[in-house]
Amino acid sequence: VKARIAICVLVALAGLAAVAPLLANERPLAVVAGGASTFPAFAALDRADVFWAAAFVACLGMVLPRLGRAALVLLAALVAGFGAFAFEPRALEPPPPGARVFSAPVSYGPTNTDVARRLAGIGAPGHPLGTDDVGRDVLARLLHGLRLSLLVGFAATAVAVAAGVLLGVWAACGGRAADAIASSVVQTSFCVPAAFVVAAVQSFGPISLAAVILLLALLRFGTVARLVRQECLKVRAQPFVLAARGLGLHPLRVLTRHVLPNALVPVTVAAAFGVAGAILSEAGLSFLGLGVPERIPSLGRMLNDGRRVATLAPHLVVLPGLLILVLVLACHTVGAWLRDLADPRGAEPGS
Amino acid sequence: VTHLRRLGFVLVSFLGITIVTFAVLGAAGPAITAADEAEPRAEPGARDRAARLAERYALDRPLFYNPSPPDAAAKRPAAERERLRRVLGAPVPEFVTRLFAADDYALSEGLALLHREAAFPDFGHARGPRGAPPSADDARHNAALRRDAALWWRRHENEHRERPTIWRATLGRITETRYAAWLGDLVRLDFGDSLSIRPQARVLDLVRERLPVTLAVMGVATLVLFAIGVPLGLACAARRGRAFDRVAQGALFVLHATPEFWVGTLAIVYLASDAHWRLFPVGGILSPDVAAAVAAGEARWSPRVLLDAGHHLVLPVLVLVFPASVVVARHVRAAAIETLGSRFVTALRARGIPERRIVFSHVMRNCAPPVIALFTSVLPGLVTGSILIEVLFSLEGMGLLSWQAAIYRDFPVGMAVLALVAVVMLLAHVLGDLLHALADPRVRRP
Repeated sequence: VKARIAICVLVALAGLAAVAPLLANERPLAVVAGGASTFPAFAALDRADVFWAAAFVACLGMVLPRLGRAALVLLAALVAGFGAFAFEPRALEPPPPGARVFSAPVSYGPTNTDVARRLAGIGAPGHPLGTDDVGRDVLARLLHGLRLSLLVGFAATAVAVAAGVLLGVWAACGGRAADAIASSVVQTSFCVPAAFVVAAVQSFGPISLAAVILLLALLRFGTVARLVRQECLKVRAQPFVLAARGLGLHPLRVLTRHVLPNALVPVTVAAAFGVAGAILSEAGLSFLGLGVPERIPSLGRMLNDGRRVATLAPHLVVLPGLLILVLVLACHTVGAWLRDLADPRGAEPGS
Repeated sequence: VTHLRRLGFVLVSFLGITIVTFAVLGAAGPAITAADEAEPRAEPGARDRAARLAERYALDRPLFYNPSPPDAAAKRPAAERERLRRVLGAPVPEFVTRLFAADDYALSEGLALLHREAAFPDFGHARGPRGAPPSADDARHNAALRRDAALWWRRHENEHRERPTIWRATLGRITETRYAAWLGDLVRLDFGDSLSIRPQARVLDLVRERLPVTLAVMGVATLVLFAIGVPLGLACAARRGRAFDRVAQGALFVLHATPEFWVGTLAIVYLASDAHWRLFPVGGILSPDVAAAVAAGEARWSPRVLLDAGHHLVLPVLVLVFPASVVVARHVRAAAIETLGSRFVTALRARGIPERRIVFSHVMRNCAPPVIALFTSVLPGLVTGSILIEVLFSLEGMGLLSWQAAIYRDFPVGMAVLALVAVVMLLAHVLGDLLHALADPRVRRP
């Protein structure tokens, strides 16, 4: 039950994140003037936004039963096709008088400032969750920060798992020299703390979002590699692998069809916790001002910005932290659920 | 043999660490000189900063393999070398060695001579009155000049020495590279000069100031970590399945997901600010008046100073250790429950020994090896957390130094801190392995 709630929460948050540019945007969703209508918010989407939405829909399709899956994959394809059009962000024109304006639920973007209403509390008109000390809408920033957190969490983990699986398989199957090299690489990666590496790289100059993701991934692949190596060695010693080999199958086929699927089970558990870890790391780095570039809204940065005025407006500090907590908690719950699935012996009733 | 293998692993990991830090440098290397060409700084010698940084990081050399290492014979014809020997009164290497033993004035004059005759760079002049003790400012300038010249000589020594052919074919190809220069500096603990945090101060001095704070915080944190985690885990194990255990497990699960910087921020806002309660001081490790007293000569270990430092450290240490202590508590609980199922526990129960005593005395001892093994796995979290709490609570430690290096773009400091922290972590791993082997004689694996 817990796991189902956690998955629902994650999916809901991912959905919110995927459509964040439509939920919180200073551009209206639609402007109907006379017979002609324009869609400024949609026109300002870029390909990354559309890719996000498509990826979310596709991921949703994977969990649902077959019929829904087909429909959703179709929808994802449609969204992706929609995204193939080149959108050109144009300057926002004031709507003509008399036009009917359908604005986004939150009619402020994450970087727009409403200078007249700074430090508004929760429930202020136009700002459901208030504004920060320079007048940026908190809800808009939360939605966009959520997007970044999820992106960094999943992308860094994906890269880390890919690198870790490759290295682990190589260590397990590549002979003694490969094993020695791989294990010293892993040992080294354990000795190098992520935050210090990011700080050292930052001391040369600012780094991009992709670099942050890559660094976080590089510093996490060691755990995965070690796990994959262990599991590969364990699985390879089992009779069904011997049987597959005895049938004369190509070693690569034995590896990909028989060894890897069984060895990857604990990796999914590690990946679920890895997402949580990456989200926490990114938030921590952004909190320190060492994370993603300043123009990208991030939960950690919100927390840091709110710190200065925390006594005046506690919601600026409490809300982003709570959102991170919920995200990480959901990832951990899913991870614990996967762990109990993979290894029912360790499971305890009620946990 | 196992010890040798372990040593080998440590050495390889050390080289790995140096390669990682070197890769950071290599990735950003071109930016170094590019950024400085806009703004040449001629202090302390006549050479601008870009030239000195290029020297420091041996940017003119190949990365890992140098097919033609420098050699006096290849660089200068014999007649030229003979002329130099007549002018200087000795071969260049011996002349330079003698210069470094002489006072600042003789050194700068000798270097000027070498600049004219032997294509040395212009290092500038020593400052201050000759013969009399120089002012602090002049002494710093002269020390920087000396360091500058020594570094240059270390890098270019081989261009003035005659090397055997075999050196040129083998060792020289490896040692005359950018990586070897970096590694050599690292082993000498020569990290260069700070750029912007404290210009021209040696990075090593900065680190030396900051290291004790971090080590103290980490040491206290480790103690607190186990002082919280182990009893909590044992208490849960003793009452497994009951309300206390369930509530504690739920709380630990939530705590495990809580970002420590958030807790730290809230703690500062609610427990250490004038707006709410001011239970704890914030900022630094000593109150200003106590720090002044220490500077004035009060004993460092007097009760007043220790109490003050402890008061300052309560919040940072608690914020630092709670995620790790959650991990420890859960592992201890699992290990203890496993041990509780073993036969000797049944035997103890049969003898009528109270359950609590079984858990806290007999079972606890059996949990020691996994707990020690756990330390190495929570260490990265602690080290990463140390940046967060040092910045939040402005404790002047390595984490804050690293953060300042990133904010002020002081890359020699950033790289030095990274390398040092990685080496310390490596040592901690080795120590953890040894302790584990000590606590559990069955573990004698490499």
